[in-house]
Amino acid sequence: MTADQLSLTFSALADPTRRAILARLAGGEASVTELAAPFTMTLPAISKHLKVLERAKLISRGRDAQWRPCRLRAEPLQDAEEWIERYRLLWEERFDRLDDYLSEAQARGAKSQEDHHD
Amino acid sequence: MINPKTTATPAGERELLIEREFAAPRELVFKAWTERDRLMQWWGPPTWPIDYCTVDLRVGGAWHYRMRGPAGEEGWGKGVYREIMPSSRLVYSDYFSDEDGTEIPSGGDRRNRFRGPGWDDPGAKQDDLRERRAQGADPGHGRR
Repeated sequence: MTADQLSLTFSALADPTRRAILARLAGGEASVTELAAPFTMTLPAISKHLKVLERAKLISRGRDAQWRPCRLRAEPLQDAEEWIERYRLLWEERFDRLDDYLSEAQARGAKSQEDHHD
Repeated sequence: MINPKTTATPAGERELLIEREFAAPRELVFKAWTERDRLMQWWGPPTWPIDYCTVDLRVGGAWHYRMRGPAGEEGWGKGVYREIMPSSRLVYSDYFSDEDGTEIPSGGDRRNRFRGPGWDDPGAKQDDLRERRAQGADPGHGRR
């Protein structure tokens, strides 16, 4: 994936409503009305979100003018998720070490308070 | 404890929000991130520990460190402090450097931000961190 595609994907994923829409579409295609149902948002507002997702190639729309179901396009999303997961893992490992350090430091602190002769 | 413990969410075109909650006082978390002897104990992976580190904790100051690889390789890193609010907030740029602290360009601006609870975001976790994503950067760079 090109850096520009990744930036586009990132922008699209930065919004919680759009992430919720994608989560819904992971369960199967849906119409705009169906997608709008869980949100306190107007149809035009949802349509705007769908346009962003479509531009980022994260969803595709059917051609039928009446029934234009939205579908997840798995591949760009998967590329972005793999990229994010690599960073997440890097930081998870680092934060696991910090977590261990914090536990040890707190245990040492508690012990030195108990034992004034140390 | 949340599961997974560390989450990563896109927060903008070139921004990834990484969040983790620690069961420790924020004062201690801040110290762990800003004091030389504490940083040396956790920042580097076991295979690439920090064996040299200086910390000059003031805006415009830097922490500069060397990580030592399993075959004796050296990797230098440097962070320049941008914002410091004890136990609440820490923002610093983060990049690879050489021994003298000169930046080795990696194609983008990376900025790490520590944010304690209650600071400018009521929903903030005990600790979170944003990383400005470098264009096309390889996350593997972070650990060398």
